[in-house]
This record gives sequence, C-alpha cells and structure tokens, in this order.
Amino acid sequence: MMQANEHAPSALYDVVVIGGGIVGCAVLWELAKYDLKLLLLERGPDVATGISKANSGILHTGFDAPPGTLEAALVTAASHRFPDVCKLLDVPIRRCGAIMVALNEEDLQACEEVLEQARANGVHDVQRLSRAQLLEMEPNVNPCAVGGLLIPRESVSCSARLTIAYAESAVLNGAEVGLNEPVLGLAPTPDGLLLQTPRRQVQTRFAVNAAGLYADDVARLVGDESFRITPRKGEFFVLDRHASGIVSHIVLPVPTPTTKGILVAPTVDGNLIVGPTADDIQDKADVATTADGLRRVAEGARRLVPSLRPEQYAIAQYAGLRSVCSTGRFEIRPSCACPRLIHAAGIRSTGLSASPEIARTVRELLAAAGLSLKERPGYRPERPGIQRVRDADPEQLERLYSLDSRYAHLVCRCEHISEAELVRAIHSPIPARTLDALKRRVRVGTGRCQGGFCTPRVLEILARELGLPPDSICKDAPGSELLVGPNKWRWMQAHED
Amino acid sequence: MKTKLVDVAVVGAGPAGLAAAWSASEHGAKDVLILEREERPGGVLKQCIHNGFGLQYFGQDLTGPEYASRLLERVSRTGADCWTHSMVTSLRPGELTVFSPKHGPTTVRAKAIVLATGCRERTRGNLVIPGTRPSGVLTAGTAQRLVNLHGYLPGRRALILGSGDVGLIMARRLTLEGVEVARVVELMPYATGLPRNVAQCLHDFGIPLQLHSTVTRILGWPRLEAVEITDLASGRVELLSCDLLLLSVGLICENELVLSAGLELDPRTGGPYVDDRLALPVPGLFAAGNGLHVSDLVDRVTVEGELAGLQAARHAASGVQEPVRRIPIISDEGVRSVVPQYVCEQGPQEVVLAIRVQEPLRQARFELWSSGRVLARHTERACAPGQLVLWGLERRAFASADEPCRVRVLGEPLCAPESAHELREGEPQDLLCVICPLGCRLQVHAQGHELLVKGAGCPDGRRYARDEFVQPKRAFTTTIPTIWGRPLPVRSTGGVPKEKLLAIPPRLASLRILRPVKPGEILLPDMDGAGTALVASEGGP
Repeated sequence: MMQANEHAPSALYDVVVIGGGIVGCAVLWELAKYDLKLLLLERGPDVATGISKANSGILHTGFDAPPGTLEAALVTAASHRFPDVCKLLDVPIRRCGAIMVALNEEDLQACEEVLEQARANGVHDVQRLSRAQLLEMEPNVNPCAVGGLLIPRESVSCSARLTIAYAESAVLNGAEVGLNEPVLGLAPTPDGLLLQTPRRQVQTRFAVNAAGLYADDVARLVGDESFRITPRKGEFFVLDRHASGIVSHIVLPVPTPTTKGILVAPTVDGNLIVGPTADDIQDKADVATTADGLRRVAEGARRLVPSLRPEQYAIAQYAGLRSVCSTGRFEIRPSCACPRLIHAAGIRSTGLSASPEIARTVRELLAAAGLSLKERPGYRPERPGIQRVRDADPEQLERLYSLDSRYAHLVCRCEHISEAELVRAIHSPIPARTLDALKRRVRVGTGRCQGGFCTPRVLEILARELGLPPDSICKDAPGSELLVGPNKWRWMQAHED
Repeated sequence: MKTKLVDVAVVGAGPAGLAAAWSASEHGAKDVLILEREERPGGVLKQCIHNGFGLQYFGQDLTGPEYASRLLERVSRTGADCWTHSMVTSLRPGELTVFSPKHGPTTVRAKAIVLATGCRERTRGNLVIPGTRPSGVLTAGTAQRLVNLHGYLPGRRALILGSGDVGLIMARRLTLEGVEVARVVELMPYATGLPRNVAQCLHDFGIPLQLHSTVTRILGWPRLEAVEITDLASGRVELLSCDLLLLSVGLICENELVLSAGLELDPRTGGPYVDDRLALPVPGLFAAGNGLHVSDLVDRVTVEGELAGLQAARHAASGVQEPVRRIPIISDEGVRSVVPQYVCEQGPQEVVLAIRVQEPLRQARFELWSSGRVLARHTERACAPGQLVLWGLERRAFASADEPCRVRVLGEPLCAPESAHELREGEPQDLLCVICPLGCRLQVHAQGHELLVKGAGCPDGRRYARDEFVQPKRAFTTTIPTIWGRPLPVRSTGGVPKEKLLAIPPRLASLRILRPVKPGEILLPDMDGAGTALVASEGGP
C-alpha cells in the first residue's frame, strides 16, 4: 500500500475525513483499525461542535425508521453494537427504554402502525402497553393516556462524548486531527484528491465527506450537485436534576407524518431534557433558541407529562440542527463527480444511532474503491475516558487521590468535577482548549448554576495549563474570549496616548 | 475514607460561617472545623471591595475585605481550624462527606453542624431568555469575581438586567474600570436594590434605569453583540448593542446538602425550615446566613451566624433537649417569607422575626395573629422586598397561641422609585432621599446662611439633604494590580467629592503594587489633590 507514497508529496494521506461530527469521527475510528495514514479536518475549534453537540442523545433501536431504507438497516444493526462500543470507548450509556403514549383512539391506531413498522425493521421486542401498565411504569404521564408502546432497548448516551471518544481512539492509534481547518478547496488529481485548508494543501488518495450541514457545499467543490442539505432546527430545555424523578423512560408522543414530536427524555447524566421542535430554516449557523419554539416545547411536554413545567426546572435551553437532505435519504456512496470522494451525508437525525454502521459502510465503500485494508499492528481498541470522582466509590476515590491530590479538589459545585479531571481533559489526545470543550468532555459548568461558580476557576486552570493569559481563553470559537483585557485597560490606553 | 471527629463543623467560611465558628468556640466548643470550598475564607465579602458594610454591627463603614478580616481575626484567636479548597458533597445527620486536596476524601463526624452555605445567582437558563449562546453573558456576581479577584474585565459595553444590589454595585464598579454601562433594566416597576445603591451606583454616574422592562432575546455569536429589550407596559421592543450582559436577577439559597439529607426546603425562602434557635428538624443541625434566607445586610448575617454557633456549641456540649412545642409561623397576606418558620415555646424572652414583604409599602402595619386574634402589632414607615424587616417580639406572645401563628402586613403601595427615575434629570437641588425605601423627594434651598429642606419625612432625611447639598462625598474603592497576581482591594480614607469620582481611576492606571502590604497601609497619601489617602483594604500577598 505504501508504494503510492514514493512519488507523491510528503504529506500524502490515505484518507482525509472532512468533518469532525459524530459521523466523521466514527469513520476515522473505524479506519484507524487499519494500517492507514489518516487525517480529519474540522472547521470548528473542537470535534463535536456542530450537530453532534446539540441533540437528544437518544440511541435509537430503529423501531420507527422508514422500513426498507438504508437508515433502518444501519440503525437497527448499530443498536446491537452500542453496549460494546460504549464499553470499549468508555462512554456512558443508559438503557432506560422508551414508552410511546397514545392519548386517544387515533393515537392507538397509529401505535399499531408503529408496531408493524418495528417488526418490519426487525425490532421484535416492542410491546403494547395498556393504560394501567403505562401509568404504572410512568405515573406522571398524562392520565388521559389510553395505552401505548414500550420499546425496551431504546437507550441514551452523549453524542458529544461519543464523538470525542471516536476521535480520541483514532488519534491514539495514529490518526491526525486538524481543528479550525475548514476545507476550502477540493480538486481531483490523477491518483487522489488535493484539499486546500487555510493552513495547508493536503494530498490524499481518498476523502470522506462527513461535513454534516455543509456536506452539499463540500460536494459542490468537485462539481457534485446531486443533493442539497437544509437545516431543521430543534429546540430543547435542560431541566435540573431535582426534576429527574418525574419520568424514568424516554416518553414519546405518537409521531405524525411530519415529525416525531416533542419528547421528554432522561440524559445519561441524570437530567431530563424536553424537546425538540422541528422548524425548517435557511441559515446553517442559526442555533438560536426562540421564544415561540421554547413555548411549543413547554406545551408539548405538558401534553405528555402535565405536571412537568419546563420553565420551573429549566437550567438551560439550546437549539440544534438536523441536516435534511433533498433526496430524503442517507447519501452514503461515492460522489458521482469524483469516485474517490465518499459521501456520508444526509444523516438527518440518526447520526448518533447509526454511527458505527455508517462508518463500517464507508469503510466497505473505500475498500471497493481500491483502498487496501490491512490491520494496524498494535491497534488499541480501548480508549480510556477520564475517571470521574462523582461516580467513584470510596475505594476508587482513595486510589485516585493517592494518584493525584487534585482529584479531591472539586472545581464544579454542581457536577462535582475535580481539578484533576479538568487537567486530564486539557491534556487529552484531543486537548480541550476552551471552556465549552471542557464542558463537552467532563461536564464542568453544565449543572444548575451553569458555570456561575466554576467559570472563573476553570478559566484560571485553562490559562495555567495552556500557558496562556486568561484573556485569551475562549468560550468556544475564536472571538469568544471571556475576558476583554485586564482591569483599567482603557485608562491605561488613555495613559499611553 | 478517613474520618475526622469534631465538636462543631461549619460548612462555609463566609460571614455567617465565620461568625458561627467564632461564636461556637466562644461558647465552649473545643474542636471547631470550618469547611470552605474556595481558596481562602471570607465568602463573597472577598469580592465585595466596596464600602457600606458593618455600619450596624461594627459601627463603622467598612469594605467587604475589611469586614471579612475582622471576622477572620476573631476566629483566628479561637482554636477553630479552616480547611480551604474543601467541598462538602453530602450531609447525613452528624456526618459530612468532604473533598479536600490537602486532607483527602474525608468523613467529618460532628456533634453539631452549622450550614452557612450562602447563595448562588439565578442564571439565564432559569429565566429562559431565548437567543444565541455567546460569550459575554454572565451573572453579576461571577463578573464581580472576575474583575475584583482576577483583575480582568468581561466586556466593553454592558447592559445589566436586574436592579438587585449586586447588579447596581457592578454598574458602578465597571464604570470606574472604564467599561461603558449602557443601562440597567428591571422587570419590576421599582428598583429592587437598596435606594442608597440606586443613588450612588446609577444616579452618580448618570446610568439610566429602565423599569418594568426585560431582556427578551440575546443576539450575536461567538460574542454577544446586542440584546432585545421589551418594555412590558407598552410592548415596545428595542435592540441595544452591547458585548456584556450581566444578570442580577435574584439569589437562590444553596441547599443541596439539606436536600441530600432528605430534608425539605421552604419554597418561600428556598432555605430549610428552622425554629428560632436556627435549628433544623434534625437534632444538631443549624443554619444561618444566605443559605437560610437571602439577607440584605452582612451585619444581619453575622448576628445570625453567632446565634447558630451558640446553639451548635450548646448542642455539642450537652445534646440539648429538644423543645416540647414549636409554634409554626405562617407567611400570610403581603408577606413573602418569615424566618424562623417555628418558634419554640421556651427560650430567651425576645424572638426576632425576619420578614420579607411582597411589594414596597408605606405605613406598613405588621400583625401576628392566631385563631382570629391579633397577638402583636408592629409598624414600619416604609419597607420593600429587597430588605428584611426585623420584628422583635416577646416569646409569650406566641405561647398564648393554640394554633399556628400568621404574619400579615397591610399598607399603602409605595412607588417612590419611579420618582427617582424622573429626578435624575431634575434640578441640582432636587434629591432622592436614600435613608429608607420611602424615597422622599427632597428640595434644598439656601436662604441666607440657612439651608431649608423640604419634603423630608424625618430628621435623618434632612441631614442627608444638607450633606448632599453642601458637598456630596463618596468613598472610592477599586483594585490595584500586584506582582503576586491577585489584585489588591483599596479604598479612600475619607469621602471624595462625587463629581471627582471618575477622574481618579485614570490617575491610578499605572499604579502597581510591587511589595507586600499590610491591611490599612497607606499606598498614596494624596490621591485626589485634596488630601484623601488611598489605603489597602486587605494585606497581601
């Protein structure tokens, strides 16, 4: 395989993955199992900064996927792999199960259709629930409920942490990741592709288009206009842990032809989330919440769980985007304009759920296109995560403390995150260099005070560990510095003038 | 996990905790351990570098650091120990789980525990303000910490939502540091902070206060660019450009520990239910300060901490017998909250109720009643939700009640703060009195050698008007960068003429502290050209 290198520029990659979301990182993880020279290019300041950081975190079984589609096949196949994948990558997963609540006869009829669909997709463990069964399992759901379904294997994980874990596992196995590096140009060459980023030119034999919302823009760089991606916004409430006892399953409404509706779901960290809306918008960068959207979310939640008042328990609200493809399906195939570019696009809302199988499919397509796959010598399948003191039992705690006393210095008052966890995240395979990057890795600042207590402390630790002045530390993207300068900087300026 | 045995454990080394630890030691507790999650004791006082503390308790106008160091000095004279960087993560009766980098994960067993956990700020997420999620949106207290303890500014042009005291104090603080404070926006039709702070933090600097309005959208990414302000009365919507939004929209008592012990919170205060000994329903557990109910003055918090410390010491010494009967005190008409929520039948002669009203009132008539019978009455000339009304009663007034006692208040609605708004643009001799929430409009005329004051409701108001007319002076506080990193809080020895306040910071711009300083040390003998000295509020490093 390496013979190709001999006459090529020094930085010749076998595969460049465009996009550091859940799909791109899963592909990188899958390919890192083989003896390949790999690079992932991400336009944002970290992996998991787009769609993959703001969604429901639900791992679907595929029970409600459109039967016969590639999506249905990949989601159902992936759902059986997750317990192992999450264990290998040290990512939390919680099998909480889902219940679908029918509020009237019409809903009950629709549930029957969903049940048939589930069976068609090979999800055979979905069960009908009587009103009594439903209310016994979830006493706080709307007492008007007439029945419903139980989908026992529906689970939750954290899409940002899984994305990071995929990428870190790949990096531990030799893959490279370029952050703040959007792909500006993409040109076929005789034996591959030449990519242009603001920093460099990259020569590769193959490329994977996992650019999410921007996958059509990337396709267009090689003249491929076979699909268009438009954003569909979903708004969510995050509720205080004090509300977590209200429901223990994912509580779903009966879907309508246009939307799966607003659900109430536990998160893997013990909060509840409520959402999402589904609004088609124009701007791919618009992740602002709206008064109207949040009102509809609150209404939707009350329909399912009348006692749930999101405003009362709200600790945060966010909006995420889905990438809706003009073709209405997963576009996982070589580009018609450039066969060495493999699309992994149009992954509307099941990117997390299908990720390991999307990655496998992409790997097979690459092999079919001529990429030779030889197992990587010394491949390490396990990616150890950062040990959390919050989850540690007294013995583990003692061990961690004897390793590093900073495990007993709690920096985040709400989530009980220690300084040692922050330091480890800052020096992890994909280093956390911003406040939000730390938040995604160790959840610092995600609790009920939303960083009110820890923000100044985290800033100080980031500055110290990175050897940077505090006023250069960003919340997220460049330009989001939390501090604009030392006290009196204006007076000092005036003084100098 | 290691175990540590103590007589009294105090959670939190803010004013309530320090007062409790001192008082417990004074009253005979042998081993007193304070557990503090921050880097050093003092609580929020460390970052409250402004003056105005201690007028009641110490009879002196102190800055936050000065007040804290007085409490600390007292504690250091006792044998009490303080673990810093040490967070308590759970509470069971007589037992605390503590994370401490110096001592390791530890179980602290205490004969009595005082919870002095303070409060946290309400956030954007609690308010559900829609929009983008940029940098530049902070709670006022977090910003105060960044500026006063870290020495960095979080923005260039600020809008402050909420006219609570922290927000008002930050409006002045940022102005003096060269940040443009565009406006303070308040949801209620009146300012919620102390009148003194409205006058001295906003009016002194010409910062507009927009009442009955709120922020309805946040715009810009990755940095805040503007906020949308909606006037609730007219529905008028306005975009205001700013790169910093500070939220001063309420404080929430920190009570995860109370909840972790399976105890309930009073939804009116957000704190635990206590009796007049500040005892929780579990024997040996006491609470004081902002974790019990949000107070207006640190002086009051200190007194409360002392009471909790005394009771904890007594309990630790003898395992005090629990009282036979506790009479519940219920918040009734016009009353937002009352602490304590129970009064013991037996105890010292006087019981003090700390009452928070729902609306600003003039001629407020408080009544304690039970079974249709009024047991006691109390009148306040004026009161507002931002302040605690302290009502001292004889215990036997409660003892005669067979049923729960209720506290209600009747009075005329007070809307003086609106006049404050108009007066900002008024004639120089027009003044808003800041002595009490009544907010009298004062007019001062010179007649020969006499000053005539019109509109004052009390002698204090007349005195205030004369002083303000002759020469309004203000204490000046700021921080000075140091070579050891943490900025040094400093203050003026006396008052600086109000109109000169903004001239001072540019003069201090190049000042650096290059050597260790003692508290109270003179740093500049004449900072304003009129002989006012600049002194250190605390020592360092």
